[in-house]
Amino acid sequence: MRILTFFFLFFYFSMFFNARATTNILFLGDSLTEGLGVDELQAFPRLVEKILKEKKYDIAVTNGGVSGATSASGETRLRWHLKKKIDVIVLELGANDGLRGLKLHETENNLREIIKIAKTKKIKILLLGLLLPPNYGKKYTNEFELMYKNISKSEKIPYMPFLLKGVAGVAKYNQLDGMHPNALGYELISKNVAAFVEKNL
Amino acid sequence: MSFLKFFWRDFKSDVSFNHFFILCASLGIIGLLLVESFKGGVEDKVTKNSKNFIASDLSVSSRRDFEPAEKTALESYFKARRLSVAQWLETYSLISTISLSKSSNLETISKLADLNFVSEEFPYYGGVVLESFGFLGSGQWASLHASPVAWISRDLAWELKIKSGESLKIGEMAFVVGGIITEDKFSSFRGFSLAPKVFISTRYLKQTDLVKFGSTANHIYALKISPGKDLKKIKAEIRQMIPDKAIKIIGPEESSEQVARSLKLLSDYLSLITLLTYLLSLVGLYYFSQHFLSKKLKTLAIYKSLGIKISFLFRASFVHLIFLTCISVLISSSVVLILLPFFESFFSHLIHESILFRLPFISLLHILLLSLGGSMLALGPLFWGALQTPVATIFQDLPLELKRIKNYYFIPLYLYIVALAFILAKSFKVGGSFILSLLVIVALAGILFKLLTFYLEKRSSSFSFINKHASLTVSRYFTSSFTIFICLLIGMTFTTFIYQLDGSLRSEFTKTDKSKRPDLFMFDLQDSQAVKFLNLVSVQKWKQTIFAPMVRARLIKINQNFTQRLSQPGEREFSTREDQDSERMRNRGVNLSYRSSLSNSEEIVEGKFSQKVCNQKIALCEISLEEVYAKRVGLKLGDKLTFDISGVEITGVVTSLRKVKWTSFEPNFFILFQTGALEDAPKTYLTSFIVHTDDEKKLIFTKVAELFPNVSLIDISEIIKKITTIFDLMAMAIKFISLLSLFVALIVLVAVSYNHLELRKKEMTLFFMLGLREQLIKKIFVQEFFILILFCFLLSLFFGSVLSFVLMRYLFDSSELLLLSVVVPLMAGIGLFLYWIVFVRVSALVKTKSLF
Repeated sequence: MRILTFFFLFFYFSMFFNARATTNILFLGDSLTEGLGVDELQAFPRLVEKILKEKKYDIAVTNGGVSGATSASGETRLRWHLKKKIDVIVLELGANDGLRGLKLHETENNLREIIKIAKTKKIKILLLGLLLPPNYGKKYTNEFELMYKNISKSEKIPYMPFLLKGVAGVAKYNQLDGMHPNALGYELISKNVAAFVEKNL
Repeated sequence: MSFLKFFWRDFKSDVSFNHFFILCASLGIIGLLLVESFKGGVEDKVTKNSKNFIASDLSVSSRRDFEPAEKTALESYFKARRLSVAQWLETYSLISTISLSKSSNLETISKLADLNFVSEEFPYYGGVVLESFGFLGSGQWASLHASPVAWISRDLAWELKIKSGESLKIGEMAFVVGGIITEDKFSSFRGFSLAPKVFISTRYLKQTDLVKFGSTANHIYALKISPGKDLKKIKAEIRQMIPDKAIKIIGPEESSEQVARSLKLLSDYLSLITLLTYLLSLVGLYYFSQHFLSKKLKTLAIYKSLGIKISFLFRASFVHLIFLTCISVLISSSVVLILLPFFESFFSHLIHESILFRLPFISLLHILLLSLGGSMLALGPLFWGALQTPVATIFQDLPLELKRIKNYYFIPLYLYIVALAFILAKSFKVGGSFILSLLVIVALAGILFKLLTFYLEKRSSSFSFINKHASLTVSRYFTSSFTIFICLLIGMTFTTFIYQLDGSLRSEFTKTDKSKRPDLFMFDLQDSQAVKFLNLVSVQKWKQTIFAPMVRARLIKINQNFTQRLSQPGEREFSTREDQDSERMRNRGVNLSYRSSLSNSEEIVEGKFSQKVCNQKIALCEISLEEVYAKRVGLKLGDKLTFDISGVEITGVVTSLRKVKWTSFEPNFFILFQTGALEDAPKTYLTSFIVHTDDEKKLIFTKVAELFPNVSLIDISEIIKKITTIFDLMAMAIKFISLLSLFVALIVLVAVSYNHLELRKKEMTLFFMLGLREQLIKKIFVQEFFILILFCFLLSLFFGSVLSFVLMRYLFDSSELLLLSVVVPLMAGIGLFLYWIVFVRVSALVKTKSLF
């Protein structure tokens, strides 16, 4: 009888625990997150969800990517998403700031503000780093790369150095504009991001 | 008697016919020649402007660097075809000022710039205007390559606070500012450049160290193709050599989608007008020849009684027509050649740019052949029919009519018109529809005219004497009445049609009100910055055209069905651009906005625009769609659309379709929500400013950069000036050619009326001999014409409007506009004018009282 009771309680609490354990992940980003030019289901947030679900993770992903978004929009958009329960934020912003040559200390401040809000709400935050194409000049591209490193270090948040690793500059992984990944490119990105997210869940 | 002698005597005896033929044909041909030279001039101007955008005749470009194999293939091909090539590389980069010394307190300023590395051959077309140097076009860019200098745009000079002669850093190299660009002719309408332009020589590309693996740049080969070479063939050959669609091959016509579409519309319109103008003059010629031959029947019978063979007489008539047509072409060409310089200077003055109207010899030859073909096929059967008149006609006293003309004589003419319609319209769809509509109009007009005469005959007993006589004349002389009716009707229908089309098309290119054209476009203002920004605008008294919220979303469901089509990984390209566009339309993210009122550049074409605030608890929010977007995506009124806005789904129902005049350059949206639905959604704002002075522009740039560093501000005044110059020219072309056609139509209509009255001269005298007073005779004839003109007026309004409606809607893919407020007074004016002409002519004829 004791054994039966034990199994019953174990089963009950497992069920309860599983129901409570759905992790809501918000991917807050720009066109790279939104999946400009491909179906939303082919953009990396949805593919990451698929990969992790296949690995039996109980997660629910929200694609909060907005094409053309700069880091300045991050705070307002995050507040919109916070109307729902969010457990993890995967932050992918700043590329458009860099491509438009905006002042990087502004970008850094914006990103830190988002992180601050997340921390206040006790939401885990993961940072996806980006690099600028070399044509933006050594000084600016170096400062841009360093910005993510610095944020990660000082805010003590996990950081993936380059979201488009292996994809950027490779024609077969990109759309005709040479900037946005195609479905094949997103498959590659999603594997890297899934591993990064899995490691930090 | 020799043929020539006979011909010359006969020719000289038909003075009035010869004069009218030459007048009518010349007017038609002048119309054709002017349309042709004008069309050539406008197309040439637009093409030249479009060539400026790509600085060449053809550009081969790629967002990725060309593969070595591609480079080799292309360069060998260019060499083999002896094509001049300029290298052009466009990329974005941060450029900065240089501090003079390390101890200097001056901070360096960095700004994003649109860098253009160009080779010595650049540009083949277009150029830049440099402050204190003026315009530098093809072959005048040597100073750019002589030393490490950069020509930078004025906006950039303002932002960097830099002057000519000072240094700046681009990549790893220092350049001296060699010139400040105040105007550049290369800005295309394909997309706004995100940053001000800088031109540098390709010689220094390597030293800047900006372009390497991972760099984003547009690599361009700009080609100059000499006039004798076939651009289309070259394009096809290059495409065959490099099938990868990532390599774009762009000619002037593709350099701007908007201009290309407009040019096509204009070209289609002008071709149709050419056909109409020509047919109008043919109608006049036909009618007059019929009259002339009726009078000449006895002479022809006498010739036959003298033993002259029909074939001999027909040959003489044939040569007569050829001779007259050639004289008409000669006279019209001379008139046009004299007029063209005046038109050139007039239009150049209007658009503030030089425009050249040419009349190439080949066009003259085409028009001569066209005119000869028309004259022969339309008038030949009349002459042949007249020659069939029996010799006994000599002894007949009554006025003679051409009764021996069989309908099938005109089959070649019908085929000729059909062929012309196809050739001139350069489209089976446009030409075919036009001919079909014309056939339907003639058939319907015949039925309606028959019904009218039947009604008039039935009811005439209850009419007054004048009306009774006028009505009975119309019904009893059916053939002659119907001929003049159909001639008047076609003339008036064409005029209505031309003016309907003119109004509809001109609305496409409507001159934008200069005072409302925006000069600066701003986007990415955040929600949290809106209040501060609006305060600044209010304090500075800046003039905004619109301030619009923009919400990014993705259309995920249409009527509860998911829109997304999964492409396979690795599927990189669509077979055609249209496939790609159509798929992207459904699949891509969209920008939503909300408003409670329409802007000046919008108009509802279907459904009703809601100005109320939406209450989502009661009903779905209402959506207004831009009509072309709705058509492309396949949406209609009543469709329920679900959007994903950052993870939140919102559904609305389409309740109206809007026509947006994009040429107003006001920020506009494909999808507008009713207010009350999207206010809480994350959004940014966009706006545009109208500025009056450079100082004001500079102030806006400085203030916005200082207070809203995340916001992007773009100077669009140059681009808008370019596009509006082209549109203004097109609008003027349409107006001018429509006026010309109206003039031809008026001459033809007056001539037709005059000739008809001429035929009735004897009848008038007979009335007089029977004791009717002059006043009464006048009233009878004027009334008869009144019936015909009134009927023509009503029918032409209907037919012309329907024709224009059908063509605009189904062929020109434009929203139809029935401009009755313009066309009704115009046609009423023409009707009254004809009525007045008839009145004056009848008065004069009645007074002659001549039976002979």
